[in-house]
Amino acid sequence: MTGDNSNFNHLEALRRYVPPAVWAIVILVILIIPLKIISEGYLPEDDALRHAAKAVSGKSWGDILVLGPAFRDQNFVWHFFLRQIFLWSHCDTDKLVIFASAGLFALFGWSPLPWLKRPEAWLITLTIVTLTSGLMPRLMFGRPFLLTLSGLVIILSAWQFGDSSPPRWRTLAGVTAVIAVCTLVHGVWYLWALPVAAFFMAGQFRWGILLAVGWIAGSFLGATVTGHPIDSLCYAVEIARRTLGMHDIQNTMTAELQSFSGGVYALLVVGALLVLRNLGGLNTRPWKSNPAFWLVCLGWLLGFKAMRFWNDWGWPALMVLITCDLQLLLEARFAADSFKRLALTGGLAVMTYLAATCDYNSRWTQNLTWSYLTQDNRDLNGWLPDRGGIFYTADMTLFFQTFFKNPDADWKYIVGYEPALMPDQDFAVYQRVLWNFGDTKAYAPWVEKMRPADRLVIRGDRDAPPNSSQLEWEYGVSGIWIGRLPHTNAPPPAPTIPATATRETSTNSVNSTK
Amino acid sequence: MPQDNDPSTASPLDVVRRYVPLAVWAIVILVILAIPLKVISYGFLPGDDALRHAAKAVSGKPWPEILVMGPAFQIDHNYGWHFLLRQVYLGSHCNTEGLVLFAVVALFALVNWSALPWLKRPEAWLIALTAATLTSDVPLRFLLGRPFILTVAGLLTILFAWQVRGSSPPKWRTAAGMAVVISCCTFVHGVWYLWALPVAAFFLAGQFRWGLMLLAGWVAGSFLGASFTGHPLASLYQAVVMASRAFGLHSTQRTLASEFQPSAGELFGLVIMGGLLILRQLAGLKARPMTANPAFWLACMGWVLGFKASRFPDDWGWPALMVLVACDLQLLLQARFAADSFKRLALVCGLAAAAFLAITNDGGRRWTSNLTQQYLTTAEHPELNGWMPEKGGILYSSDMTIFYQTFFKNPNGDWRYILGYEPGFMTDEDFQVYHSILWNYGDPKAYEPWIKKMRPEDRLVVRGGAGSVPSSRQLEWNYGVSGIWIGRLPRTNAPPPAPEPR
Repeated sequence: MTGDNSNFNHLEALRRYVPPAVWAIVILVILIIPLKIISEGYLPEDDALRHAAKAVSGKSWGDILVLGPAFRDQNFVWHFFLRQIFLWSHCDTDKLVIFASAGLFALFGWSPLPWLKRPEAWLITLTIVTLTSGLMPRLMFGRPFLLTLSGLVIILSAWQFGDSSPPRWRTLAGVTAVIAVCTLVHGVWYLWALPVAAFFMAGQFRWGILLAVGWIAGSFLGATVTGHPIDSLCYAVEIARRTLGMHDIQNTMTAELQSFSGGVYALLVVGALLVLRNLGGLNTRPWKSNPAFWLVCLGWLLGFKAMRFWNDWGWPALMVLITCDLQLLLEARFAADSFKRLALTGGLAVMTYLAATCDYNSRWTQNLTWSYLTQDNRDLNGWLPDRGGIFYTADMTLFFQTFFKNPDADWKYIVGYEPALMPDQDFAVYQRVLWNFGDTKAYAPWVEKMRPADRLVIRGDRDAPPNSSQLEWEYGVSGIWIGRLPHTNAPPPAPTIPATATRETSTNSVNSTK
Repeated sequence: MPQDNDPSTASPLDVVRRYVPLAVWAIVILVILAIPLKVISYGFLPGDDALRHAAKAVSGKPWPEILVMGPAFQIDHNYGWHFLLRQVYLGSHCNTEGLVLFAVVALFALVNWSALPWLKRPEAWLIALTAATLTSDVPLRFLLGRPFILTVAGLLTILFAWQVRGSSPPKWRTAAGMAVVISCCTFVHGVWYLWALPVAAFFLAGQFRWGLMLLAGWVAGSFLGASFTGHPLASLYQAVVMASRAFGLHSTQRTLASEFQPSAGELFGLVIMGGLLILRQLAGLKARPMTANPAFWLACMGWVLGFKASRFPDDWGWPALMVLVACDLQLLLQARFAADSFKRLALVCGLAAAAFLAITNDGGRRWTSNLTQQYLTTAEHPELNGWMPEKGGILYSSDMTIFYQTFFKNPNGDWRYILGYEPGFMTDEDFQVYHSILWNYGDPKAYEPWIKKMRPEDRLVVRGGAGSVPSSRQLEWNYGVSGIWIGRLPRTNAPPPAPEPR
């Protein structure tokens, strides 16, 4: 073991406090990271905003979005949960989002800890992930998929760090419960086929069968709580099929559903692990019998179809692999009650904290200069959709941000969080707009069916008003143009704020989030 | 050992063997000198502080006559550097460009030569330099012609001194040497407080005697260096105030100077460190353990602190890592090549060519991007008459490169700049305007407080293409030179004329 049996005998009595101190440091730093990030003013950019707004609004999606025939709320329970928090606390959408971001980050960060003897290994893993992938911002997205990631890490850790004896019935119960909760909250039950396959590929047949049973039981159990078990399970598959199948090319898909470029840094990490195993003489299971390794391989391969396979399944599995090897290394190098271990953990905590919270490329503060379309902005009087109107846009961020700031507004959005939910006719327009890189002409079918209550909203610079002459245009807030049908028979006026005018409404004050 | 030391394989060439070490030294020294000479032969000029240092030396004016300063500014923290450049200028009567080129060549040579006296195999430094060039922009920073390079040279000297002599307790003359090195760095660069990092690194490595010696040298050297300015305490205090304001006035990191923004994690630094560990294992190098090496700890601290500001790894972490690399490679080279081996000579030629080509190649136009730069100066652009600030005027701009370039070309201009080399020295009111402009990504509305207080002799300078006239109608605008608009108060009561882009 280590040779740090120091001569400071009076310190010996303190050695027993080293392990709890290490645990305390790791647990706290994982909690402090999201708190520090949200203290910068960070808000996620996508679904977390609409989840919070949905919870505050209390409305059904049919009252919020213009929906096609195929629709069911996949995140029913997540919205229910956030709604209860809102009703209990009367907080606003900001607070709900912050709660989701910090809560889900901490949940994911803590998920492997019960299985670890050396939790500081997880801190190193978190730092490696921060440096070599874009996963850290995803961990702050405050979205229900983080619950699925946590469930995956729990199951892989249970296999990885548990004893090598065959699984017991209580393990099956645990796996079923985890998958049931994930299905209930996140909805994407079918992708659990990947870890099941990974267990079989690793030759872990007993665990594979157990996981398969737990998957079937958990999925059904989770779906049952929605009140429509079969419909719910079928719908999840149907929406996945539409989401991927309705696009002719990947360019028109949501960014996270497009393919990745190969995750070269992750391969570098895998290579480094191999070297570590060899040079460090680690006594580990061979990778080919490790389900986490096979899940990494599956996630990496499928990442060429959609990067979420890699981000949501491959990386968490790789994190478990890394942690396993690092734990062995740390156990071989440091005694559990060594002060060197405590010092190392302190250093690792500082490193992880700084790596995760540093605002590189404005990743945590870019939202501070966003401008929102809000009903309480007097300059926008008459420029937001009227009662019963439709908010036309081909930019999903406009839906996320506008719904987030106006959860109780009485209009509907043509595009919401998933274009595949749109009526087929509107989806065709949406896809044409993206296909033509936002060319204004592609909006023509929407412009033609617009009513006086509706608005068309397009992002663009102040100096570049959209050139659709059928609408009158207002430079609503910085970077956003709003078009409406002319209120008179006269020709539509020139842009309300000429390009040469001083920018009274486009500049945000420092620290403003509006 | 290599076969070519075997007497049985002696050849007529063996008589020349004794010149191999000498030739190696000559090659390494010369290639280090040839690199900056080649780079400046392209027409390279650094983009930032080197320009203002040269202009300051030529102007002979104090900063308050050059910049609109807030009360935070008390003393020039690069006093020694400006004094040195001023003497060079007075001795040679060169222009600002000549001074900048002198700084670029001299400092690059100095920082790289500072490693050589401590090495038995100087070619190891060439490998370290090439590796750093391929994986970071640190060696390119050595060509910026700025006084921080002297601090890096001082750091290399101290770290290498320990690598060579660290096995025995330090002597008092070592402390004196350290004090001299640090005093020079403090006098020229001014940033005395960051020497706390190598001091901490020595203690973390368990090198307590050396740590104490460096601590003593740091305290003595900082005070000595500051004393040369004539205001020792004020000078030391000013350096801390400047650092505090440079970071503390900004509410987000996005508005900081780019080199003060955080790094993404210097992944290649980790790769090199991992490569060294593998090399040690596979080659069986008898090197000191990393954990007992201050350079290792300094590399670690620089890397971690890079998440706060990228200058920590650039100025402290990477040089320390280069020391580690050079020392391990030296062990490898000693084990593989005899000192007077022709193979060694051939290897050094190859390494010299690699280092030369790796640094001097103009990939991404890194050495020639300034050639198309146009400057605001009536000497080169007589059509700017009437559009430059008038006597006693102020040049308003939120772009520091405008200051660097305009001051560089007009060191004797009788106007002042609202923004100079450090926004933290602006008046609080002006800093708020500057910050608001950056916050709003240059939105013209954010310039309004400055426009409101502009006088006829003042000018507002904004970067922009010929087709994008700044939208402020309170000023009349001239597309001064390519990519730069100049605004001034209208000279008549008539409405300002429409701008005519050239």
